[in-house]
Amino acid sequence: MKKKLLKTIGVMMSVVMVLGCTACGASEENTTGTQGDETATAESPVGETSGNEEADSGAADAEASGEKVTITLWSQFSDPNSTDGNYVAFYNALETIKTEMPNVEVIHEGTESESYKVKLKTAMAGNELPDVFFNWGAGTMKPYVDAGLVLPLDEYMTDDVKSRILGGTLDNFIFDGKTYGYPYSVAVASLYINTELFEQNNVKVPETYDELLEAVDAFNAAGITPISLGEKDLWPGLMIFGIHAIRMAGAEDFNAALNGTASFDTPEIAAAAAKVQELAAKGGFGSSAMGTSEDDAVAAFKQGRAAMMFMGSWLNGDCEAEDAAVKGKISVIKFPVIEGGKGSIDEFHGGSGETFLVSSNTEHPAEAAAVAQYICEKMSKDQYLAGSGMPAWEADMGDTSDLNRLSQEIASLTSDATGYVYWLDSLTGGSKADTIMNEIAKLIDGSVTPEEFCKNLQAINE
Amino acid sequence: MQKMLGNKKAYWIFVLPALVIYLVMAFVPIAMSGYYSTMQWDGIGAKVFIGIENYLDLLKNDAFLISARNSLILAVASIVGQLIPALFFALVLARNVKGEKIYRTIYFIPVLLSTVVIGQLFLKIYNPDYGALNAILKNFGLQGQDWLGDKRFVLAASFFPIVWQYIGYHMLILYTGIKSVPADIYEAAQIDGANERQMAFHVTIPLIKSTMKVSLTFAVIGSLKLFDLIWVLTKGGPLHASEVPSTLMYNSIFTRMEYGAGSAMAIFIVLECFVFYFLIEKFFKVENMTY
Repeated sequence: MKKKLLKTIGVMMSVVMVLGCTACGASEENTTGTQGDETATAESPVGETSGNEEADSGAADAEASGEKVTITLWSQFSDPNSTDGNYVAFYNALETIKTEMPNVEVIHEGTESESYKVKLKTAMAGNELPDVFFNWGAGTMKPYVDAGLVLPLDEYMTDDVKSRILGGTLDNFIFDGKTYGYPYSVAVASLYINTELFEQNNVKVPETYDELLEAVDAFNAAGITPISLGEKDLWPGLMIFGIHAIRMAGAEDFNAALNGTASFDTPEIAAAAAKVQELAAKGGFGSSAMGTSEDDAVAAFKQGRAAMMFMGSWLNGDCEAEDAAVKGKISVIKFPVIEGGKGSIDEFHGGSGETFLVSSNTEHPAEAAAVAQYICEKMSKDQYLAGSGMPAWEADMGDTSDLNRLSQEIASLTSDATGYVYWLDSLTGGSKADTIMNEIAKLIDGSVTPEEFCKNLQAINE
Repeated sequence: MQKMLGNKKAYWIFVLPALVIYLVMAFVPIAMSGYYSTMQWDGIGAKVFIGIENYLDLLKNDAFLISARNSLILAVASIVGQLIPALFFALVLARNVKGEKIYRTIYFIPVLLSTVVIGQLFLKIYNPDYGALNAILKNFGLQGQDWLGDKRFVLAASFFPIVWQYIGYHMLILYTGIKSVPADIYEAAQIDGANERQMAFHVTIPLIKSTMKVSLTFAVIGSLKLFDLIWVLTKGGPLHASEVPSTLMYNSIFTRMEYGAGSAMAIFIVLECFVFYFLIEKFFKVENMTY
């Protein structure tokens, strides 16, 4: 009896082990196995889709052979239940691509943003890139282009496609005249203000920089954090410095410095740095910005504990969320001009810089490019409707009365935009971005003078 | 049996599988890092051989010098802050106090918690707006501080949970060591008229020296290669004030995309650990004891 029991246990254990092995093997194919809808499998048979213009260009050979092409897709959109506008739009696109492009089967793997960057770099070093993958443009993308890891998409970008892409949105994806990605959103930073706190404390909504400083003093006196800043994560400080530099030096000159064609060591940029330092020393970011993470900074603003926040348009969703104490009380304004600065009020911080790239090693370049194009175009519309950024493609938006109020405000603010400077970290990438972020943290902390700051920044251009 | 033990080839055959795994898992990656550390490389493109320039750059890198200094401070803090309380608790608990098992379990709980859990816990405690620490200080009429955002406090604030977490771990090692000391030695000491304090200092501590050496080694090496809690609490910030070599290495490789420089830091960590290991071996000589 005992022997028999032992034998049964032994057999069961070996079964479990074998199952365990196969389960591991399978989960590598589809790591987000808990979400059944991650694997977008087409239901309708091939051939019924001749009307689909996006798929047409790429899918010809696959349709001819009648076989389904499998395209692997990686993104930083890890959570299908997120309310972030970009996530909502991405999972919409992943769902509709099943019926819109039945000739391809898209296998998606989503990884949380920070781990995603590491995962992508590891995959690149090991030459194991998926067919299509999410990435940032400009300086972040350049090493991949230089190493020949991504496919130029000019071949697939017909005039018809190009005519639907809004002007200027491709700039961050073009290297040596070749285009490597389709845009899907234009994110813009603006100054979010809590109108309720302004009214309660009798503070004037700032139209000039001096009024901004007065507002800072007034809120500090009232014990309210004037501008919520999560400097522990370093990148939020980039946006504060970025807009100051745009206002002082102008978008064109600042872009030139960031591209390395002009110097950072100019009186204008030094003045911008001095302004940021002055603002910080005045307590403009509260007393604990250096130890506050971006999540905490957003939470403080959402709960009405901070009066202002300078942030990208992805904040719209948070401000209007059901659980936000400030719902309906937030307004967006252009960051005030600084007296004596060369920049105008219609120059903005932000732009189009997120995209899906195609690996140069893909076995099905045409289909992969078609998938990238489909997702970007679909996301462009949906993320706008979900209240994230501005669209990057022309599209019939239909009824926009339900659209996030702040998105509409930003759309009207930026309608006369004369210049853009893209996010400094994505624009410069790698060690340059890290150096700029750390220098700005020093500036805000007060451990570097504006003049030293400019010299240290210029050092990365040399 | 005798015949087999005399056969030197048999040793090799039995040791071989473990040795191969060990070499592949430990020495090959270190050798690879050594190779990469002589290159200028972004992790993707072409490698350029630059000799020892990455190492020379380390000496000019302020953040790295801060991180190296911090790792030494942490090693000292661990020795003082972990081993002394751990030894005290172990000595007390091993004397058959009432509730010995319960205390042993309670002191060991922090070791069982995941580092990320402890990190989150202390993030909340230190939070300048709603953290427990500032709330307590304000109750006494004192000024709250931005514990993890202020260069003056961040090192102490982030090292405290690291040191605190492993007190229980070392306590358990030392406790086991003390428990293995035979009771008749204590009886002999008692007959000679020794009190508890004298027994602790003249009997127990000299007899558990080899266990203490194990604890010392773990405490020092663990401090030198620490990564997780610092990463959760501060990511090395603000302005590198709480940087340790591993966080800086991670940052170099994955944020700055400087594989060569990051590998040089990895080699530094390995060498630093080796040096301290040999120093402990040299200055803490213990003869093996059998009772």
